[in-house]
Amino acid sequence: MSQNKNYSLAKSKVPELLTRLIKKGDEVWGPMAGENGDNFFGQLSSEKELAGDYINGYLGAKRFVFPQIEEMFNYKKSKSGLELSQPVEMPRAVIWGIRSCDMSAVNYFDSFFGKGTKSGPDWKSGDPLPDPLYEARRNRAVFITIGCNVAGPKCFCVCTDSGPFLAQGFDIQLTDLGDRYFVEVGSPKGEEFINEFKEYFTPAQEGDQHARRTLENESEKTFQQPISFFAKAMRRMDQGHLKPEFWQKVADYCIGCGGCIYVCPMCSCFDVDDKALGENEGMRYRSWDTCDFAGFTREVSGHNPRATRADRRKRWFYHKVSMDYLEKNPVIGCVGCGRCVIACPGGIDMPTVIRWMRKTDSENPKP
Amino acid sequence: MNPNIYLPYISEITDIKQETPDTRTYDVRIKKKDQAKLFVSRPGQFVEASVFGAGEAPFGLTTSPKEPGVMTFTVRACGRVTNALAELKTGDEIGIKGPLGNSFLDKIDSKGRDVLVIGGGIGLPPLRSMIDHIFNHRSDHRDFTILYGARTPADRVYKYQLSEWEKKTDLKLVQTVDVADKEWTGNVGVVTTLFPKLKLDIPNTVVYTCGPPIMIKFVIIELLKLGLPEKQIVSTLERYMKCGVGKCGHCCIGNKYVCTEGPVFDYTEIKGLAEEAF
Ligand SMILES: Cc1cc2nc3c(=O)[nH]c(=O)nc-3n(C[C@H](O)[C@H](O)[C@H](O)COP(=O)(O)OP(=O)(O)OC[C@H]3O[C@@H](n4cnc5c(N)ncnc54)[C@H](O)[C@@H]3O)c2cc1C
Ligand code: SF4
Ligand code: FES
Repeated sequence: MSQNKNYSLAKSKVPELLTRLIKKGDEVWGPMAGENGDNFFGQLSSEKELAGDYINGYLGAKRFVFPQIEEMFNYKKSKSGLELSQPVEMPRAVIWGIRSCDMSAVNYFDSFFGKGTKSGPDWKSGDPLPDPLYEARRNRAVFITIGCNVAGPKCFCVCTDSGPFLAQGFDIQLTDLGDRYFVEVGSPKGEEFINEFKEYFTPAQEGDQHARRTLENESEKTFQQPISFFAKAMRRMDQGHLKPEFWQKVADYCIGCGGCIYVCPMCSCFDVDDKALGENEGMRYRSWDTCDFAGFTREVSGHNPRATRADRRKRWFYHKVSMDYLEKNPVIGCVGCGRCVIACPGGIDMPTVIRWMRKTDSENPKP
Repeated sequence: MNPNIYLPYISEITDIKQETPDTRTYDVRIKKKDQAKLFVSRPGQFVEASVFGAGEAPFGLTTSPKEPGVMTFTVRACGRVTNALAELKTGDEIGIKGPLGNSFLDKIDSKGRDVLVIGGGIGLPPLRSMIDHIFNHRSDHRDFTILYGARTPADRVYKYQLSEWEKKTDLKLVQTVDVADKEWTGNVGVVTTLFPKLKLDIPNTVVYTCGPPIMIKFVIIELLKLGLPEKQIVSTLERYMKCGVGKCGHCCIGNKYVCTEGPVFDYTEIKGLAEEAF
């Protein structure tokens, strides 16, 4: 970004800005304080609900782009036949204070949910098409990210190139400089937003850009778990060093709760079901699902291609870090947010298993 | 297909045929003309059929289409959606998403070769569209053989069609059942037991197969033993599917999405996967 695209935003003005947005009818999402000192990403009904300085909670901004339960359409049966509802227009959403890792996960979603040629003459059978539900949410959102001056205790985004600050992929990026934010613009949408609220954004102060760089360097020194070096682990997987014994060892620690997938900002598998809302109407909806559950792949005959917990653990790591998937989409399926480290009761989170992978070869199949 | 990949076309059941006690064949037509126009299928493709309130499930198309927006599929009642379909009658409305997936025609060209079709149970219907295609281009192909295996004689679908095929001179149909009944005079045993009885011109044969995973597994093992080139073994993979459009993740095997990259694969595409295909 060129120099003149940088601004300054006084922290004291933020409550007023957010209040204006909410009054105007925009959906404003941000980190909210939970009851037990935790926090989660949610829709604010008042700027007062905003959490102060926070470490990413379990539920991140994935809840906005890919809600846990989302209506796909409504159906209605009447004398004249079946009718399906069309999607309704929703207001702009301002996603305030999303962390770099979660923003990176949204960018990954773009390459998956948003993928495909548009329908039309160039559409070939078999080509994936973009996901209309995701696109609608993505298109109406302005993402205002915030860089992390200090890493959380379980974070490892330095290993996945998804933080603590971003070079691109945001609409607006904020850096906390004490009494003000240093503001970088990353997209036309971000520029538009700033133009709309000019009175809050003043030209960046002398030296702020430099301060932002220094903060990034300092932040990188605060990581407590920079242990997730993926490259060697990926080679081990790719070259066939990880034998069934390896996955069995991982599975021995897994209780099959699916927690890792629930908290993962990059997991996007879902179930589809219908729910009756009366005798003649109802909705089709999707809800988060996980490859960790046996029912995810069990066929009607009872045949299950991933029948054991070891099969399913392998699947999760394979999808995230195998070269095979990288061929299709050149981003690994982990943004280093550290949530699985906190969530997994068995201690077989991403950085741990990556470390096991690195230390495993055909001669020593068990980590 | 519809640009909103989750929105089905409202369609009408125009005819139902009872195949076996638990299996019926549905003729279906998309109601709106502008939507019907978009529905042109190729052999091997499938649809997601919705019974609103019960959900949707994938079914292989059994015909090469005579006109856009018209289709036929055969369903064995075994779960929520399929049982709900079994309750419906001619004139009832369902939802259709599709055509989905790729086609047998995307794989090796069978022109100028012998064709061997191997179907198991409810695996015959999805092959039917390819069988039609070969009949429509019969002179482009050499010998044409169909092997069909079912659990019992009563479990065979398309019995009227089978007896017609039996009479044909340009097609060899061989049937077998796992368990015979009193009237059955044909073969007994799994389909692979029929292989030694066939005089196959191995280098010049293309095989199309669909059926239960365990059948496909042994069919492929036996064909490889006979020396059939891997590219000439073409199989459909059936996985538990939800969305059918490459987003929900249920059908993934290795790094492949069976619903969009399949359901038709040749053996070179599925043999090296990080997971067992069958
Ligand atoms: C590409 C493709 C083409 C297909 N073509 C055809 C076709 O032409 N004709 C056809 O009849 N079928 C076909 N099928 C299979 C068909 O889609 C399934 O039979 C259908 O999805 C079942 O849906 P349902 O809602 O009725 O079952 P569900 O209600 O979903 O019931 C099945 C689910 O319940 C559970 N379940 C049920 N029984 C058991 C059990 N015994 N043990 C353990 N768990 C169990 C499992 O989770 C299972 O997935 C095809 C499938 C695919 C993927
Ligand atoms: S959180 Fe841990 S125990 Fe739970 S499913 Fe994931 S790996 Fe298994
Ligand atoms: S069935 Fe949903 S991704 Fe294939």
